[in-house]
Order: sequence, then C-alpha cells, then structure tokens
Amino acid sequence: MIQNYLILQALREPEALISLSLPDWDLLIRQARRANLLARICILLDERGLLERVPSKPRKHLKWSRVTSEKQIQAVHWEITQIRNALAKIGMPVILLKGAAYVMAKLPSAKGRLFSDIDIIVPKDSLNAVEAALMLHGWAATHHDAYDQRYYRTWMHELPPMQHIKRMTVIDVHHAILPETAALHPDSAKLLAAAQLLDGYDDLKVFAPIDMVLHSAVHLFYNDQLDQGLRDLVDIDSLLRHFNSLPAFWPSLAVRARELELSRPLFYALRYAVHFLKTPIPLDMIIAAQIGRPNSLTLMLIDQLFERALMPAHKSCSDWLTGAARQILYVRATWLRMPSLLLVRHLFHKAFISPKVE
Amino acid sequence: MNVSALTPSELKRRLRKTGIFLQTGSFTTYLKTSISCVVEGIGLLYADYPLVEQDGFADFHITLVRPRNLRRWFKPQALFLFDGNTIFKPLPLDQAFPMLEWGLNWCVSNHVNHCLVIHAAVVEKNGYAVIMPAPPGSGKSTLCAALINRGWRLLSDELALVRVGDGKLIPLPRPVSLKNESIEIIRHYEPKAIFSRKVADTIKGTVAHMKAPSDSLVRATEVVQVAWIIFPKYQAGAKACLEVLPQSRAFMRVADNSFNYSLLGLSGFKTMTNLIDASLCYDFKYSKLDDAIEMFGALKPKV
Amino acid sequence: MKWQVIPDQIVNCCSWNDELVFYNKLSGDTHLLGSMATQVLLELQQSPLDMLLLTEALAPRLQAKTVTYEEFSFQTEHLLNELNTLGLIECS
Repeated sequence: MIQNYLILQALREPEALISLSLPDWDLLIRQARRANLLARICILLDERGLLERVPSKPRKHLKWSRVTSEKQIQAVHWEITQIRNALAKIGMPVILLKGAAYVMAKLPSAKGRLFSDIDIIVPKDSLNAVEAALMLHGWAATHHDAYDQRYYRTWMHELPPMQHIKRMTVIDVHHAILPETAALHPDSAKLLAAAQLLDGYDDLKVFAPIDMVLHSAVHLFYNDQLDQGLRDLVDIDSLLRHFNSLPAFWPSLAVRARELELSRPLFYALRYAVHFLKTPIPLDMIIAAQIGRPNSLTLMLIDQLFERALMPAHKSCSDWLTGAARQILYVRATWLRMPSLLLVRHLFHKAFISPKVE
Repeated sequence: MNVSALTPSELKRRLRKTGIFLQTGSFTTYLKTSISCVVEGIGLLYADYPLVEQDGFADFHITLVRPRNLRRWFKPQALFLFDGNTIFKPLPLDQAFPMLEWGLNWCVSNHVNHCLVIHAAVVEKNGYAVIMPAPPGSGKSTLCAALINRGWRLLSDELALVRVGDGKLIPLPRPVSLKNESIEIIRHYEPKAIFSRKVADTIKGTVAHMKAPSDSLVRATEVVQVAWIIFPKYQAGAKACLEVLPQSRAFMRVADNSFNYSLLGLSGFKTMTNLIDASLCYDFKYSKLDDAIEMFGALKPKV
Repeated sequence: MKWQVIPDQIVNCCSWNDELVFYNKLSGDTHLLGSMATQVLLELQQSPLDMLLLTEALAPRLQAKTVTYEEFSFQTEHLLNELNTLGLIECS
C-alpha cells in the first residue's frame, strides 16, 4: 500500500543508493532535508564505506548536514554539563529523555540526529525545586501568556519550556510521559525507578532500554506535532535494532508495555517500524503485540492517516489527503491526551486567540 | 549554453513552465517564477551564466510566486519559497528581484559548511585576494563595485567562502548590490556598467544590482589565495588611510561577521587561524574611490 | 594549591603579539584573552604554580610598581578564576 519513496529506500537499504541517478539524488536530498534525516543518511553511508562513492554534488549536501549534526551533539554535551551544574544541589540524578539520552548513552540513534531542545524527567514533587534551580542558573519561562502557563501547569505532563537567557537553548522538564488528562496512565514512578545510571556518572540517568522504546512510541503516536514523525520512527527502528542483542529484550518489552498500559502505542510502533523501515522483529513479539491492536476498522483508518503523516512534509511525498491526515491526527493526539470538554475549551482558545505582536 | 542564448520570450516561458537550472559559481539553483520583474532581472544580470539542466541536480530549489490570497488584488506581493517552504515574509511585488538576490545569499549562508562563510566582499588581483568583511553601511559594496571596474576580479560582494582544509577562497560572482547614493556614484564612476532597475523603499532603502564583469564569470571556478583582510569604512572627507589591525582582534571581528564560524566548531577555529595567519589585516578609512583604488593597487602580500 | 594548564585545552590556542585567541572545545565558544591572561597562561604552561609563586613571576614582567601587592594579587586571583571558568586551567 505504501509508495516507494526514495527517503524510505535510503533508510532501509543505504547500499542501494550507490546506483541512484542525479535527478533521484536531487529528490532524495530534498525529502531527507525536510525530514531532518540528511545527516542520518550521511552516517549510514559513511558507516558502510560508501560515502565517497556518492556523486560529488549530493555528497556535499550530506556532509554539510553532518557538520550541523556534529555541532548539535557537541552542544548537547555542553548543555547537559550546564544542567548538571544547575541541578547539583537538588540531590538526585537527572533523567535524560529522547535525543539527549541517546547521545549520552552513546546509542546509535544519536548518530546524525538533529536536536531542538533537551528533555528531562523528574519526580512530580521535585518539579518546583528543579524549576527554581534552573531559573537561578539563567533559564526562564518561555510561555508568558497566562492561559498557556495555566494550561501547562494544570493539564500537561511538563513545565512550560524554559529557555536559557544567554545560550538561548531550551529545556523541557517533564514529570510524566503523558499528560494527566490522557486516557492511558503509564506510572511515572515505575519508569523513574527503573532508570539506569549512565556509565561514568553518578548524577545522570536514562530510562531502561524497554522503557526507552515505549517512551519513544508514546512520543510518536500521541504527539500532536508530527512534523518530526519519520525521524521519531527512525529513532524507534534504531533502538529496536540495537537492543535486539540484549537478553530477554523482546519478552520483557511486551510484559512492560502491558504493565504500563502502553500496549497500544507499542503495537503501532512495531507495526509502522516494520512497514516503513523493515525493522527486524521476532515473530513472537509480533504475536505478543497483537494485544494492543485496535479493531480492524480503526486500524484501517489509522493506517491511512499515518501512511501520509509520517512522511516528510514535502510535496513529493504528499497527495490530496495529506493535509487532512495531519489535521485529523492533530485532533486525535489532542483528544487522546485530554477529556472531551477540556479539548473543546483548548481548541476554542487556540482558534480565537488573537495573533501576538512579535 | 548561457542564459543569453534564450530569447526574452523563451526565457520567460521556461522560467514559468519548466524552471531553469542556473549555475552561479560552484552552485546550481533551480529557479521557477512567473513574476515579470524577476524574469527581466535574470535576462539582464544573469545573461552570461550557464544553464545546466543536463545534470538534473540542483543545490537549491527556489520559486518566487505571488501569494494566493485576497491581497493579490490590492498591494501585490511576492513570496520566496525554498523547496516549497516560506523563508521570508512576503515583500511588495516590485521587490521580487532583490528578494531573489537576498534569498540566494540565504541559501548559501544557511547550508554551505565545507567553507567558512563570511559576510564580506572578495576581490582579487595578480593571484592575491582581499577579503572585506563589514557590517551594512560601511561602504563595502561601493568599494567592491569600484575595484571590479578598475581591474580587480570579483569573487563575491556578499559572501567570502573560505574552503576548510586548504583555506582557498572559492568564487561566487553574482550581481553586486548597491544602495541609495552608491547607485549613482558607481553609475558615474563606470558609465558602461549594467544595472537592474532601482527599487525604492526596501528594508535597505533604494537598491539596484550591478552586473558582474564577464571576466569574473569566465574565471568563476578559479580558487584564490587570501593576502589581506581589510575592514573598510566610508567616512565623508576622510583621507584614505590603512591602519594595521592586531591579528587577534581581526580574528574576533571576522568571526563576528561569519555565518557558520561557530557551527564549524574546531575546524572553523583552525580555518580562521590559518586565514588570519596568511593575511595582513587592516582598518581602512576612505572617502574618495580613486584614492582607495590607488592604495589597494599598492598593497603588497605578506612575504 | 597549585594552578595548572589543562593540556587538552591549550592545544586550541593561537597567540599573536601579546594576545591569545582560545577555542574551548567543550562549549564551542571562542575567547580573546588580553596580555595579562596570556602571560599567566604562559607561566602556568611552563610549570604549575601557586598564587604566591605566580605573583612573583609576573610582577617584574608586568611592571607592577604602580599598584600595591594586594591589588595585584586580587587581580591575579580574579584572572585565575576566570581562566578556570573558561576551562583553561585547573587547580590541584
């Protein structure tokens, strides 16, 4: 059912890129740039010793983007040093999420990745102390609008994003992986309890491998912003391929998903990882994941939607339904995270808010 | 085949229907537009640039369009799209050609990372180049326009591309952007120079673009060694004067004028170090172009 | 307590005349160090020194006659802290 987009071919089988024509490269570079995956493709080729066999014009673009990614990874390291300093007196380890976690845990998902902010998670009862410590060290709230502040603090699973006044970097401080209003209630305490110290640090932790996979699944399929959709799916693919070698990884993944009420997002993550990126997943796991499968009618609809919305927002990857699919998924994600009355209130406010003067 | 090989109506048809693959320096831009002042500007100032559709590969994909909203009936506007995405706010339609020029600069300064990209004019004579980094209003483009009409070769009037690795300067000769009084000054200075139509009331005031000399286009692939970094400053009534600038200070000022120094990290630092080491660095005040030309002519490279 | 240059960092320094441009590879920032800071670094690069020995080494070269000893040590200490913050030197 899926069209054979170049960007997917490149991610599944980088070896095949060597025979690509220049007009195909032209299109691939544009799709990959829009999906923030250009540097990723550069790394995939370089790891296979094929980068120098790419024609020089497209190779230049791949390398340009790798420079950006390398700089961002350096910046993530530095930013984490600053966060550690700021939170040193809180007296508990900082748990890194998503990209920052992949970088510090030296996971292959970090390679060629681009970053917009740093996400951390802390117990809900230390939220105020963490916020105060960050403010003391130069981070300030970004959402000054009273509605936004109240919205975040009442309903969301994170503080309003904070930006450092000098470095302009952004940190998202979470206390859960889904809003409290969501239909699913993964127990944050269990996630925090299972988090593991990073090698060489006594103040930095990341989620346990199975929780890392589950969190990235939740992030992708319950997020109202799908513009990074394919990049997030690439994260999941890369985590699964990497953790495949851990003993009992797959059986514990299925059990943990059920324990945390995350069987549904896990089902979707595995389904679309296989579908788009041909991620190798053991048959037992595929069968175990069926527990999270929605009814067939829903699944048919969701397939139609993600088929479009996970592709880069580039005209070569769009049809007449793409815009509608993104819109429906936006409402769906918001719906899944909020009870209906609250949703109406939120969308109403978003729709009628007067434009801010920049 | 150059743009000039197309008749005006053929150029217009191609720009509207199929788009053109335009080569500027070492970059290829795919350009599509039906806005007539852009078509006219391309025909005039890009006449001697090669068309390279045979590759089917472009570094940057640009479309200039008129936004499809109610406004098109009132004050018409132009929109610059980079591969389908809006980069700048729309501008009045008559500013579409300057917007294309600014957009082309944006494409290079936001993507190109095998070079240290500095906001500077670059000209060359006898195998040695001068980099003139400068904030707007310093008279850098005026001086650059004068120099290239008096025997210096144009590498760029906006973007110095210093190749990481060997520090060589890569040419990117494109039309020279002139503002306000400078337009008439250069018109008088070199009556044979070809100019685009003046566009008033842009964010930079009145602007016009001067066609790059054809010799600089012929030599658009010849890389050059840097010899001088000169910070020009036009000052009414000032006697032309070169003042030696400590290299450590020059380093920081060039870094300030660079688009990607920080992005390049350690290789940016190394490239900049080599650039500063290879260059004599000066502050330069002037008021008369002829005096400036004479002083530049007498420059001696570092031994 | 002795101050010493962090060898890994000093690699990315370049000095012209009496000033020094320094690239901090951890933060990615570039700093211009004035002549006094440069002198301090050069001293510490030769051998780790404590405050007293460093002051002794610097005073004659920096023509410190116009300031009191207290002022001079205060300045030096301040500078050492700044160089430490920039990640150029550490104390052991």
